[in-house]
Amino acid sequence: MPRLSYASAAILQSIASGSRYGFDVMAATGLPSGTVYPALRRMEKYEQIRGRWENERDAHRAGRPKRRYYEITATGTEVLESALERFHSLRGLDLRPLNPGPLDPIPSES
Amino acid sequence: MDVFGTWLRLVGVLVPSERRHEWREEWRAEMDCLRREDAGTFDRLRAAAGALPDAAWHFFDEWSFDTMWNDFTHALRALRRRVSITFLAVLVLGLGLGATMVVVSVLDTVLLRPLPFEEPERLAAVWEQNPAKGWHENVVAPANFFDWREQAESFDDMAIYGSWLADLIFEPAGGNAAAPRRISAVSIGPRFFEVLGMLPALGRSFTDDEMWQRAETAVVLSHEMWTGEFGADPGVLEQTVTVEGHPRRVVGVAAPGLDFPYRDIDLWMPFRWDVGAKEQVWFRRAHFLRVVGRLAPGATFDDARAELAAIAGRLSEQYPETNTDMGTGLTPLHEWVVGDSRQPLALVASAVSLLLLVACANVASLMLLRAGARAREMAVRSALGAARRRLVRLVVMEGLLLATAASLFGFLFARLVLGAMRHLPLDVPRLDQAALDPRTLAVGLGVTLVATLAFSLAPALLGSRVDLRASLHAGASRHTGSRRTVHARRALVVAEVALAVLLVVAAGLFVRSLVGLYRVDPGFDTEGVLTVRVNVPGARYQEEPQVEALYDRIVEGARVIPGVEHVGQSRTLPLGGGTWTSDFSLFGSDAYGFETQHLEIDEGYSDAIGLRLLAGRHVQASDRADGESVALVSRELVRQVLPAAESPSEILGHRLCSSKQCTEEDNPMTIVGVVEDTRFDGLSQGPRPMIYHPIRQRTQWDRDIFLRAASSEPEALAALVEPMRRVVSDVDPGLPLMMVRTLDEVIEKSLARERFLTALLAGFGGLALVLALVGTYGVLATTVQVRRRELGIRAALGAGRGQLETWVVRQGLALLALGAVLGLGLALLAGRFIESQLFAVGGRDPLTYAVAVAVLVATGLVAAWLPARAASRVDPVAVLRAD
Repeated sequence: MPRLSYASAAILQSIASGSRYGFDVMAATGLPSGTVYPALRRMEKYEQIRGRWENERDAHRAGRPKRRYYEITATGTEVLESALERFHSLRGLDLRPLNPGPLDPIPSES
Repeated sequence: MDVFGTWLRLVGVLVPSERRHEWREEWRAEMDCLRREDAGTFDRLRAAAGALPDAAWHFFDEWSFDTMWNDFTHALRALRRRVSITFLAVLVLGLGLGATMVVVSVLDTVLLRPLPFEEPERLAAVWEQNPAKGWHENVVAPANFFDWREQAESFDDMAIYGSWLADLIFEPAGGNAAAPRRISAVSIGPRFFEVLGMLPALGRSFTDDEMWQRAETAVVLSHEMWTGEFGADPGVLEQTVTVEGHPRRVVGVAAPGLDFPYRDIDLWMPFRWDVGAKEQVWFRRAHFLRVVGRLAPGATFDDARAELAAIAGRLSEQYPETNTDMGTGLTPLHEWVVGDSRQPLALVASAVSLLLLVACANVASLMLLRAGARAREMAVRSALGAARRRLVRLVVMEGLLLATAASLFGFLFARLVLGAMRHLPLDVPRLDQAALDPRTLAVGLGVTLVATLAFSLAPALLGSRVDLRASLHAGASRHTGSRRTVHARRALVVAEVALAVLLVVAAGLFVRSLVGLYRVDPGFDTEGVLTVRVNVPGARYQEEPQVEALYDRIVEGARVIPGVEHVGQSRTLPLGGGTWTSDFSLFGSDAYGFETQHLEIDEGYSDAIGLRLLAGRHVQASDRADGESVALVSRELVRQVLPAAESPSEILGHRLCSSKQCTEEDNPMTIVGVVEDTRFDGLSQGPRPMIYHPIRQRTQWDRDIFLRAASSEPEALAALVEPMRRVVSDVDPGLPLMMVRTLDEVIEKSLARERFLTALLAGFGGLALVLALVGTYGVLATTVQVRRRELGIRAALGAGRGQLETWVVRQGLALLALGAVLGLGLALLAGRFIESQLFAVGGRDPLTYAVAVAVLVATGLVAAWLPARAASRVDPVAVLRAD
């Protein structure tokens, strides 16, 4: 079971609480992009989170480029649980996204 | 301009090409989102900054161990292929780096590191001042100290210490057969170690009882002496040692590494005064103590200053005779200890930074040269399918290897230099503690890495937009890539030359300053004079006549040593700072406010050191204690009290006193002679008034004996040492000879700091000049290669070899001229800042500047020599045919 650092645990917790985009995680946790993004890549590599592209057509209809969003996986949930046992304070923190996007991101075709 | 888009494109270079597109899309989408949410520019910038670590993650993620090893071997091969450039780059960067690490380490240790005491920020040096007399940071009178200590509430406690006592006769075990040896000591007051915050390792500090002679005299050993002579035996306490013939009880051992107030103290002794001294005038009039105080909790330095000023005001009302106009001041102790070294160190640090910049410019130029020469190789690799990223990775790996090698070299160099510095006789505090600690190493390694990567990457990134067609085209010369880089390299050379000129001018100014110092006429002869210090123990010689008789016998014996022409005695050596200062005034005159130094001399002194008589007579053997009080004065003294006098002889017959007013009660002395001024305090100081007293009228227990030899050869002087030792031991076997030096050595020692600074700057200037020379040569050589066609055409059209050579030289001189103009401009600006360190030469001395320019022109000619020859040998047929 890989050990998460405090920052990574907070990021994972934020995603588990509903943050989808990289910048959401930044806003929720207060961590800078230089910390968040490399952590996201690492967690994606170890399959603790899953990264997907938004549906392009929906994004274009909304007049913006498609964004990449992240979800926690089963592996990620396990890892997060063990991390929360070490970092008690994280359990209580509200790391939900400040501006929730569309309620149900439509999975892309990829 | 789409800043963020450009940034992403730039940084995206690091992302593997297969992921790059998606990566860019993701970031673009997020940045766009921020824009829509009207996030502030600063927030957007901060968010965008994260793209770099993200791209770097991708970059390193791609590097599996296999690819890294592959890149490593490739890089090694590439570096080996152009060994000379690699070697040069490592050398230059390593030297620049090593020098920087040394200076950083010294600066950190000497200036930045806090003193090793408890809560050192609460310590201060307290001193007296008298603006009316120009006294500043002056030594303190004991009575004033005791009043401060009692009355000042902003201080927890204060302690006193005296001047450094050298060459005390010491025997470890009282009365045993152990041979006496000389040690250094300092007198301190009670609770000195407590106030300082560095408690003794063993035993205790001195107490008030020991100071007021209510208890037997005690001593505290230094830690080094305890481990050295006494084998760290805890039973050393209560043992007896002999100091200057007196037995003393050991009551403590100081903490290790205590180098305040002086380095290499062997023994700590207490001040001892008679209880009745507190009532006597001299206790408040004689200034000779240094005071260190510890602030009370919550008090600030400003509080303390104000309170001390108030106390001083009260004292000047209570004791008008001694304390009028006497004020106080304090300096935080850290500032007190290091303050004097700050300017020279800042100077050295600046010089090293300049040298490092020159080295960096040189390395950058070398890297550009490599990049230019490899443009074709890169084109071929690219044509064969190597991703641009792979090329970048190769370059980065090469850069890392170079950086590692340069760091290693620089580290070794720094260690060498720091080790050598420990043996230098410089009075910079804590210099011997400068070492390469992990912090300095980390800084050094970090700087090297950043510098090398920047120099490797920049040309790679800029130039690796490989224009395949242009590079591989049949008609393209080998040097197409070089052409583009030559401009950048020319700019670098101009920068190098400018900085080198700055350093050379600085070095030149210091050289002139040093030469000026050496030319100063000290007022006495320095050649062919040997000096010998004799300290007579007060325990065995308690009366003046005994001391006089002893020295008479020594001088008699010295006179008959073969090769000795004259023998003289005085209380202290020139340039040793051992004279004492007082007011003086003429008998019957109202004029006041004069200050003079004093020195006791015998009848042989003037002949021994060549003190020139201007009027009246020298000190004579007949000037004894029972006779009339007489004195000689220096020319400057006459100038100050009799400004209208046409000849120094006008002062003869006047009487003067060493106090503010001169009446019969003040023990006036009759002036019987006037001598030439001497630079007794330092060669760079102007002449000051001096009163010479016959030593028989003011007996001194410790004296310097001067032997003037018939020949000034060093061997002749060295040959006098043994006979002199025998003379002294014949007179009294228990009296060792101390401090045997020639006057030449004394002068040299007083100039040690100036000599060191000058040598250092000259070294830096020389190095910078060599680097600039190499850089210029490199650019000129490439220029000749790149413009071969033009040269060939010129030759074909009839230009002779001389004209071709001149063409090259002109190219070189153009670069140098631009660099020189910049450099001289910088030097004019910087000159003001170093003026304070110079003697008798201003920061804009035209001679130095002219010499610097001449040196630069010579350098340019040397640098252009080989390329000029290559240019003159261009074969027009070969060049034109290769088209």
